[in-house]
Amino acid sequence: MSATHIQIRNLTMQFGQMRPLDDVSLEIPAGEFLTLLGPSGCGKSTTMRCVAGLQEPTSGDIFFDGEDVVKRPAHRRDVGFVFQNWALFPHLTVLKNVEFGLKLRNVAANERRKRAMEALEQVQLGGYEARMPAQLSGGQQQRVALARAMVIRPGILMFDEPLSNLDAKLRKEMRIELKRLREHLDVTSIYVTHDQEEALTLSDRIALLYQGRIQQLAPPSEIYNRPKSRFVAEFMGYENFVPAEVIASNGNEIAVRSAFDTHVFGTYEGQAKYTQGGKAQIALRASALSLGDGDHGTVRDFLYYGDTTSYFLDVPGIERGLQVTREGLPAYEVGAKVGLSWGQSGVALIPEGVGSTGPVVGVA
Amino acid sequence: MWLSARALLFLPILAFMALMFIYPLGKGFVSTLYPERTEVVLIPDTHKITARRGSIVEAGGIVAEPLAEEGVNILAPLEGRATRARRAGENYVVLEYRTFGWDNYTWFFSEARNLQILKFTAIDLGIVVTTLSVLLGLALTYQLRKPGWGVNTLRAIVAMPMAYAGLIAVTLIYIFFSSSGLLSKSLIGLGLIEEPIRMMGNYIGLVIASVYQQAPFIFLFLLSAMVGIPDTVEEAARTLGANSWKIFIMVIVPLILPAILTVAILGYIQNYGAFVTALIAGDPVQTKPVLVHAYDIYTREANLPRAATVAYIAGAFEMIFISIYLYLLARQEKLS
Repeated sequence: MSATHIQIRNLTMQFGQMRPLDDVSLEIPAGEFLTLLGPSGCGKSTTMRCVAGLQEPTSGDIFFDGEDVVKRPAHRRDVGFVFQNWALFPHLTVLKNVEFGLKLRNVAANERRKRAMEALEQVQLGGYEARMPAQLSGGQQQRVALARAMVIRPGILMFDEPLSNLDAKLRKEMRIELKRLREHLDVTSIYVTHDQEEALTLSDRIALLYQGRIQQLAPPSEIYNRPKSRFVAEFMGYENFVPAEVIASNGNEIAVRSAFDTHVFGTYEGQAKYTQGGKAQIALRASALSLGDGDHGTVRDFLYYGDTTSYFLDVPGIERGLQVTREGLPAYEVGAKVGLSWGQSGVALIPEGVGSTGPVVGVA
Repeated sequence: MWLSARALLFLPILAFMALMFIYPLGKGFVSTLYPERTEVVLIPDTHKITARRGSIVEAGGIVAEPLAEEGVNILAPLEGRATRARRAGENYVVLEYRTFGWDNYTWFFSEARNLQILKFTAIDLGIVVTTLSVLLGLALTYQLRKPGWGVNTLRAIVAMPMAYAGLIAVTLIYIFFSSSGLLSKSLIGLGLIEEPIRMMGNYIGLVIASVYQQAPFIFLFLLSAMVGIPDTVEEAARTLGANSWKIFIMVIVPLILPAILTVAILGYIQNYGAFVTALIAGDPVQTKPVLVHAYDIYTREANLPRAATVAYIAGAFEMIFISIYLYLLARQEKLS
């Protein structure tokens, strides 16, 4: 089957007063690899489970290639699903696990075996077909789960935090493996994770969710470099937020003034609107800030990580203070006065406030 | 030390089993509880003992006091039923008793009635009731395996027969299914039937009452096995194209198969102990299970050794199935 075009319209899930999903609309073109990113309870898994048919939304529609599937049971949606805990059938061998979906599709035994063996080769598990799941390591089980989902050649492949149960080294290996595989598969992929690194490395686009709503939907580089709100910025690793005032704005540039200096930001499509005299925030990565001589702040504490040292500074006018990461050994003592500066990289202009909770309609 | 703790644990069990086996072989022990007062003459060929009048003897576990006129005053009357006493001259009574031998076992296997009752218990009752109970228990478990609105109440209702004694459970079934019971009355009231349906006091009654008592046990046992299956395993099957029936057959049943086999064996064994159910819901002659047979021999024929023989043979059958259960359990432990 070829890759499926997915449309999600006004998807809402409600349990009493709780709304795990709040009017989510999203369009995923055929063949795209979309990651639903967000903290626990943000609605990312619920969205994907609704698309897979494992949960029924309270309202809203889901279209596969233009056909409404919201009432179609999961077993007739033709999706491959890779679960967080792998969910292999413990009573079946690796081969039988992979053959399971093919058997249900009445594929002849010879063909079934051939395709299952091919899928196992693809995930580099050739020779493991006679083993039981309990005899495999976590990484190997994950590969079997992947082969089992792929072998039925679904139009959509879904991954529910598939790497979160693996150790850091294995996670990295599997990430490369997944990237390699996705290049060979003609399939639309939805990937759920809370790990921004995973999202950035694998995705064509990332939808960042919070409180059941999409906060930002953009390609990895955009969501990383141009967060739309403080929530997105914080989730994408911006540790520092400096209040600023908009002093000038034309079609191409926005000038703001902070306690440190005046800063100019280029504009881009879809950016929040800033008006002269309005409030804004400058989001700064800890690595974007440089320390030097001066009196912008005082070192409150520092943590030495080996290759880097993180400083926590008390800065007048910034309640939470600032965090600065520098390479190498600690160079400043607690109580030392320091000056601060930053360049263009790792800096973003965002509107005032914590973040948008209004619906964001994402259309490719 | 060669006699390990485990061996010490096994010895009393083995001794107990040996005793159980020997007991039906006969009651050949004659001892004098009060030797200074007892004069016992043992005549092995005739299986008789003679005791002086007025003395106390114990013959085969029977404590008896021979009297002048009435014969023997049995001090342990229940035990004494197996033994007959008669007067022998002016000063002596004769106590007849059984000696050690295979007679009772030979008797059991040579009487068609015994074998028919054993077959009835093992197959007509055991296999049928266990199969029906497992199927019903499985279906109920599958339906009630997931939490949801009212599920706990339904689970409690299904498990309810386990909460009260067998007598009450069977009585409730009797009240509902008997000719004058609620079912017949309701159906007649609705005009669906003219004559009451006879569902109690026969084989169907015994099966219904037995399943009613056994299915809850199977339900609770399987429920604990089924709730242990992660939801995602079921969901994985669903996304791969399995509908509910295929999930049940291809995933759930194979995963809980060890539990099904275990509970089937445990449930099957229970049928050898069918007693109250058989007396109330079954037919006293046609659907007599082995334990009722033993009880009849004991009470009507006053023959404890024979009754014990029947009970022991039933127990031996149970032991075979318990052994299978233990073997499966050990295998499962080895696999996991």
